[in-house]
Amino acid sequence: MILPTLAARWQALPVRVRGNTIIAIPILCLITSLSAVAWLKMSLTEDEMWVQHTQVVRLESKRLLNALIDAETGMRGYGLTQREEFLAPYYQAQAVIPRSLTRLENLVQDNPAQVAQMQVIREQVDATLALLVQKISLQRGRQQGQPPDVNGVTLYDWLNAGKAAMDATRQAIDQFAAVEEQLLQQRQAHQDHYQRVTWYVLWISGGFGLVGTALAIHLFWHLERELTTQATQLQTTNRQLTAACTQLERFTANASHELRTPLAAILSNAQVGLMDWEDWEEGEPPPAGVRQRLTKIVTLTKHMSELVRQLLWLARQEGNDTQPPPFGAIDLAPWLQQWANEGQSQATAAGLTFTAEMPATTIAVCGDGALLGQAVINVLTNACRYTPAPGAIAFRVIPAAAHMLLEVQDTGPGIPAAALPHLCEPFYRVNPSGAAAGFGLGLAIAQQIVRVHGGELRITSEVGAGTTVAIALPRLP
Amino acid sequence: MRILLVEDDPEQREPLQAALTRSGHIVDGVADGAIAQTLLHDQPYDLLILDWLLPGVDGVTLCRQVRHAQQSTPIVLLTAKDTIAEKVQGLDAGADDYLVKPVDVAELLARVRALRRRSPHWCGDVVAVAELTLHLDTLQLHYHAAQVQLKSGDFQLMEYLMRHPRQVLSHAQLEHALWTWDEAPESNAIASRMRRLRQRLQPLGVEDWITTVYGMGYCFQPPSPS
Repeated sequence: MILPTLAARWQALPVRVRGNTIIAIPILCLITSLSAVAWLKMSLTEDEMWVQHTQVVRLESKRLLNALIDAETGMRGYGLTQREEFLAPYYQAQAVIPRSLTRLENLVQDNPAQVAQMQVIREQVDATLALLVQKISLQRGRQQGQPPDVNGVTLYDWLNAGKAAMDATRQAIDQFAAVEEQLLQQRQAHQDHYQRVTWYVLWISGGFGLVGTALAIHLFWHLERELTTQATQLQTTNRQLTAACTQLERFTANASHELRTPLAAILSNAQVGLMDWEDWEEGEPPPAGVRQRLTKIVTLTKHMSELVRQLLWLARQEGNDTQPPPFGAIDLAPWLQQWANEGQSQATAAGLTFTAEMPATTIAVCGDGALLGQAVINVLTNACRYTPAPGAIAFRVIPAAAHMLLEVQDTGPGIPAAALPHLCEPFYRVNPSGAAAGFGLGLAIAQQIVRVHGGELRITSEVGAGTTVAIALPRLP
Repeated sequence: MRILLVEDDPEQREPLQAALTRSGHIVDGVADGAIAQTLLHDQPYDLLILDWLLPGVDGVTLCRQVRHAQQSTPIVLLTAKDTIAEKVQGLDAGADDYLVKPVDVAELLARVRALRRRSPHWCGDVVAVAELTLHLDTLQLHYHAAQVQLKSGDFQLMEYLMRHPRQVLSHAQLEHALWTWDEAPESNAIASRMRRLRQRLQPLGVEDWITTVYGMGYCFQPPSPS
């Protein structure tokens, strides 16, 4: 339900919009996937940085611890042996420890909890180092023979305090390291998660890209097909228009000829008649020419008036094409007889034989008998006019199931196939320079009458054998 | 002038032929292009008036044939075809004038006169022999102060005689020149026309200028100046 509506909406869009949309689909897919990947890549890089940072912190805290242990171990060795070289690790540690502390403080500046922890560590380390310094100075005093200004109990307390300080420091550093370890794990997990998400996003955007490209190709083909169809339709319309134009041109040329010819004859006859009249002098017998010319003018004017009447009838009918006049049901039988009689008399006058075949039953059609008669008589007149004697005209009425066929067949010279489609055009003549007997409107009028009756007029002809004009009228049950 | 008028519609041809004849021309009226072609071979014409659409050979083709045969006879195309393209086509085929039907008879006659003036043989609208002058436009004959108005038939004969002075003209020559192609002269037709012409010339006193050469024909003989 939705898809056809969408398709219809899509069809209704202008070609420019549709073309832009088709181009936009893959471009949008590309931009979306590129920005998603770029964002994820940035996150990953940040994660990596944090992981590295945490590892550096861990290493540094380990180094600090080691330095402390080295210092204590060195101090103990010196205490036991009283030899200066055992103090080397202690001095080294003394140089390393403050640097290490400062570096660690710098590294964890972003984390307030760890900064506080660092404070604790620093205090512990300072305390431990102070105790170590005290012990070493005590040892040195003993070595130089100075009496110790502390008794055994105090010494024991010192040793205990040193151990406790060292343990506390260790514990603080371990705690610090544990926090960092936890942070590292968190960050690694985060990094793994983002890596997975990046893959998913890549796959999904790849899929979307493929689907989008396929859609774009489909829409493009669709559009191309549509444009091709439109171009074909345009070509067809163009051809039809050209044909209509040619027909109109032919009509105006022929109409101008047919209207001017009688006018030219009337004008010349009237002017020459006037000249004759002016030459006539009283007393002479009245000029016979003038009377003849006036008679000719009357005949020509009547002829022209009939031509104008027929032309106007055609023009009005063609304007009325959409609205057929309201016809009633009539029985064709009596009319058929009348038309056959008319055909008979015309054929006899032209020296032709005439045969009529019609059914005896009543034939009901919807129409106007007089109007249909004009069409049939026009066709019969044409047959008689263009069939040389001795020829034959056959008028046949063939009732079919849905249609009623009226056929007029002659044994005339026939009509070339090229002329057949134009026969019903007003003023069309197969042989324009041949002597013209009628106006050239008979078939056009006949076709128009048949058309308003919902029927069809067909002409078949074979050159040398004759022509058949068939009028098919819809039959009433 | 001898004019060939080719027009297939008798209703149009007849009045034009009558009007041209009244103006003193000898007009061969023909309905068919093919007949016109034959006549053009038989007889020299001074002017051709052709319709375009004709049975047999159409007017434009006839026009081309005439020009192709290197003849400069003036040609008027008289047709219902009225587009510029058709006029150009007609004139390019060799016509000297193109008139669209319906044409005013007075205009046609004026154009015929105009084309006559373009002829290389034209020497004014009069033919003069000695003191006798024949006016081609008005069909009048003047001699000193006197004048007579001639009818078309008499004028045609008089013009022919005056154009061939001091020559013996046989019956056959006169028939060929003065009768249209579709008329056969009766046996005494020339004699009776001569008689009538002499009567017309009586008021001027020049009727004796036409002499009968017994057994041969007629001769138009103005008196010698002596």
